[in-house]
Amino acid sequence: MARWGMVIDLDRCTACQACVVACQVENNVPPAGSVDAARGRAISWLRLVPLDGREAHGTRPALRLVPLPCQHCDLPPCTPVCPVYATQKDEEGFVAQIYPRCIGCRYCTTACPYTVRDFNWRRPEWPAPMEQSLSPDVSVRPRGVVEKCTFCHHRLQLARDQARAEGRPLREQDYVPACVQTCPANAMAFGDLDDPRSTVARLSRSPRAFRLLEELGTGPKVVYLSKGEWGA
Amino acid sequence: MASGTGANEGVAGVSRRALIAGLVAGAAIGSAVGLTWSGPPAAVTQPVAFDHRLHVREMEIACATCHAFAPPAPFSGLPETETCASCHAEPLGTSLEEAKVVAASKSGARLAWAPLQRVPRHVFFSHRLHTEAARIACDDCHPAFADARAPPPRVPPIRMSDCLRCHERVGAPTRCTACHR
Amino acid sequence: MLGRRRFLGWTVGAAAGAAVGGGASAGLRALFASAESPIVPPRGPERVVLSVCDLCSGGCGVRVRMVGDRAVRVEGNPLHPVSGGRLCPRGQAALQALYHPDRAEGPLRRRGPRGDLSSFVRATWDEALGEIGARLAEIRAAGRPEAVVLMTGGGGAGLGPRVARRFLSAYGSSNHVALHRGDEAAAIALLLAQGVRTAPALDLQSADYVLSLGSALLEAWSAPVHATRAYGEFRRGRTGRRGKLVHVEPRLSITAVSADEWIAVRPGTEGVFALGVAAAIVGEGLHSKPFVAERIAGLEDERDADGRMRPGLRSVLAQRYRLEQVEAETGVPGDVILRVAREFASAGASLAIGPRKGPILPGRLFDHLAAGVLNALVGAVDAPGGLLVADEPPLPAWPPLPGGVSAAGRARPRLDGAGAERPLLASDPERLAEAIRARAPYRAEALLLLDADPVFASAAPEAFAAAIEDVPLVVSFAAIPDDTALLADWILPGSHYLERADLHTTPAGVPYPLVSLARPALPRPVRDARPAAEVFLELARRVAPELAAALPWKDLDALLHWEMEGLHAARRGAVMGTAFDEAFVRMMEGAGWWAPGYRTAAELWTRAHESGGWWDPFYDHGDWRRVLRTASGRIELRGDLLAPPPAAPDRDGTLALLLFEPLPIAGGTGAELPFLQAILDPGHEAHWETWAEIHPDTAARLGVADRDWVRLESPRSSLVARARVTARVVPDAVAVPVGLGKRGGGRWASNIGANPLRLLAPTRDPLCGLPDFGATRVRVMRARRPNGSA
Repeated sequence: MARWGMVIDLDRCTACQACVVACQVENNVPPAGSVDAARGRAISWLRLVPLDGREAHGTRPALRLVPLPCQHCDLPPCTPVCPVYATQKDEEGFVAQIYPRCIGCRYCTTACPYTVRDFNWRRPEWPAPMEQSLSPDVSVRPRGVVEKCTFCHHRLQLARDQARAEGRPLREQDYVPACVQTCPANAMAFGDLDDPRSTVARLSRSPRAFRLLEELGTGPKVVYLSKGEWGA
Repeated sequence: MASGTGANEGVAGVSRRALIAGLVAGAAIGSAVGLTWSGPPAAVTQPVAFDHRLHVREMEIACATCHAFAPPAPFSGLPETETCASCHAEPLGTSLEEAKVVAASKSGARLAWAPLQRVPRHVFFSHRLHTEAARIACDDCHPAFADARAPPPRVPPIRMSDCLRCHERVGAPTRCTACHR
Repeated sequence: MLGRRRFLGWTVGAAAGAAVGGGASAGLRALFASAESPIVPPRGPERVVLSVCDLCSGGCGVRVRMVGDRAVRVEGNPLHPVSGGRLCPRGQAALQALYHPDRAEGPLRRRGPRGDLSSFVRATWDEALGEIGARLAEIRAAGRPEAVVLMTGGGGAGLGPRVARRFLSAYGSSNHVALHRGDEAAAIALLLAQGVRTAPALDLQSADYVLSLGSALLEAWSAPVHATRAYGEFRRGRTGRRGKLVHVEPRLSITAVSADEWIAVRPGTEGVFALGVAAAIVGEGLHSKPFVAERIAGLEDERDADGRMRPGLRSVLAQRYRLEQVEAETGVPGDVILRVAREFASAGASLAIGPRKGPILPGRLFDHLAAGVLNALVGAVDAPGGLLVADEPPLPAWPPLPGGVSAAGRARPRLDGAGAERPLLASDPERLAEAIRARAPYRAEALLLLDADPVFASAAPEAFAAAIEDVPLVVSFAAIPDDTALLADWILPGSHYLERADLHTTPAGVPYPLVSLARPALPRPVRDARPAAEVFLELARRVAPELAAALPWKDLDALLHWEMEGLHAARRGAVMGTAFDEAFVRMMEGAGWWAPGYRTAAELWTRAHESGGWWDPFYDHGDWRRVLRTASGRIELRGDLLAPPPAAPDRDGTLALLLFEPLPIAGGTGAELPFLQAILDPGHEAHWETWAEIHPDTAARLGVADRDWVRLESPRSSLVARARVTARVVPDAVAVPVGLGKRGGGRWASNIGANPLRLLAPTRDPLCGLPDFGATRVRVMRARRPNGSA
């Protein structure tokens, strides 16, 4: 079985946030207003987080803005704490979130060291006629459940079904999450980390590759490529 | 029987212990029923009292003739008026129900068929995967129709346990992510 | 044995228990069910429609996924040369604009006081166009067609603005005023240097070293997706070559965050820095001598036609931009200036970019000229990796304009004096506001606003609000009533781009002629809106027969056919296609062949619609007759315009006001869409408010802590914003985003944030007359929180 992972090249990323909005549109995320946003209750499966870069040369900017989706850890801290088995890692490496099982206790949200999980504090609402643009391929979550990045797993289900109907294997370009598809700088790659010929496997072997909070032993499957050095 | 004294003395001639035991038992049963029982499904009426047995068993029309799939959506499609009109543009018999179909095909009106079973939105289900790749016959999952002389007002819903039973038996994926989204 | 008491106990208990248990659990189930959203996205037949996004001027080709009659997803069209299958956050949020709850229901007529949405009542299109058409016909019949003013804004290069402008000219007025001047300063600099008036295109993906002088290259650029795609390739798209980006600005902008080096100069000194670099290059002889000898004029002193000595760039640099002078003025150490000069001059392909910050903020002409000087010195003009000039797509001419009263009207002087009082300007909205109030040289009798909100997005918002009251007929085409629309007499809601057919020409900053085609995705508009182009065609028919003859198309499709047939006749270019197709066409055209992939006009129509449009990917580098039209036939280094440098205004305890446009709200639009309001400042969670970036030293001096409310006061106005104490801005400045602070714009924009354009001093750029958006200084102090905000 494949082991799906993502590579984000910070040397290409311009922090434009197209990925952030694409994810929200693709996954029927309800828009939050200013009040909810001020209370930290806006839902965004993918966020840019500020990281302090190291001052290499004095005039180098000390701020990095890093896209942070769910890392779909190989050893996820969020799955063992779920009392109802609503989140678990499946055979292909996805850390899945099963909304009908979730009871909203938020142990998983607390356990995640990357803080990439969001809780539905209110019933999601779209003022008419905005509900017209909802995608039929993705659930509309109720109030009281946790949600997070799924690596656009619904796209894999559709792509696999299409490949089977056409009698061919799944190709690398058949399944990409919405964020990867839209990135204008082409900074994101996605694929099977266990396939040595895939783009992500190749890029994850780069000397620039690093992962976030690796020291916690979570085994994150999002690999970052650091910004380049002078002329390198 | 003993008329009790002391702790077992009840209220207005009723045993307190039995009262409490009854309350607990009643509450347990009541809650269980209240939480799970959803009542009979609502009755559904169709615009035309379509005779499946005639068309499927006697005329031997294949299910896919009228229920063409729009892959990969789970909805199998209900027939458009043109499909009916391919045979019933003119009356083939004398039934009043057929007359409704003939009228609709002449006027181009849509027949507002009402679906009896719906896949919940949090489930990914591909009809073509099951009918084409897995070669499951339609009435394995939808037994209520092929022999019905008139459209059933209700059918039992297909539950996840029904899907799992077959999936486990044939070795199809049973992990949550195979179907949930 | 069950006694009577026990039996009764059990029975009563069970009944009571069941009632309570059943009731409570059923109630609980109802509670759970109420948590479910009632919205279930329906299904339906699916199809794909190709269109062109117009949420900015970038012109990205898009693919729209339709489920039934609903648009559920917009993605980039992979075959489109601008978007390449990608989209920016604005493009992704397009569906929120399409299905926005606050879109005007239909034509609205004002019946009450100005400035209130409740003053408007519904009218039919027939009523609206009947009355407006009659009024316009009256004005024209009275011999005053010049009294009608058209203001256009930033909605891309679609047919709406083109038809509107043609209507105005045919009608008999030359008062077309463009509100968004983001490309103006760069275009004027190009005009002065090369004699060509257009926004320069940058070949970023082939450059090796980019010196960004305060530009918003990776933010609200003129074609953001195109520029960001090129940036990705510039960094990691070429094996063994990694481009270097150096950004010079008093603020750590988003572009600066991506740069290899951020050089924090004092406010307003980017151009001085650039000329310091130029001085070092010339002084050390590092400029490209063959290129300079062959293509440059004005490096050395010369005698002009009157026999006077005109100082050349060399003397100007040696006199006014010596290392120690530049160091003192910019605050940048001399060794950094020297290093950058040597890097810039010795890199393979270097490119300097001037401070265009967004559709509203063009930057100063001086700074753009300085960038042009650097490019000229290293030969980065019309070369790979350098500054390019896009060719126009060979679209056919439109029918001739009527003469008579129309010609007389067109000949009258423009109200805004652009091209006359201020000869270098194409448009002067602030002067227009003054002229309207002064009623001189004549009275404005009608103002038509297409994608333009001058009461919000000009450098003189209050002047416009006052001026509009004096115009008898004000018509806005805003889909969601904006600040200017609230003051108008009529709102004729324009359709969303997904609701109409359209044709877009080359977006500013893209080097290839392009014609992008859009089909309507929805069978009918969500509200009773119409494409502005069709409204103008209808008005032409209603006003006068000679206008109908000048605009003879009955609808957008007819006009599209006209355009595409002319394009076919030009015998150039090809339909959009894959990378292979692009390479093939380039190769063939480079050898002088035309290999279009279509034969008849009908074939062009079909295949262009299937792929997204037509383009000509072949850029003929070094075609000097096309890109150089100065009198000397050479690139002019205007040393005379570069000395003295602009004077720094007095400090006296104030801070320089640095304005910038975050991409989500650039051009004064975007705040209406909640997904865009939520991403204004990446790395911070709050958003949804106007903030003011203050350096920690300055904040300490002012007694301001992070997230305090502060008041910014200028001689003109004041506003309250949330303080962000950060070292991202130099101590002498305060940085405030532009794009919030609207009164209109619907529930997610209205009364959120504050508009810093109201603070602007009425200073003009001394060289060309554009408003100087960087010349204002403000006093900053702690304040109480503004009313009604979180």
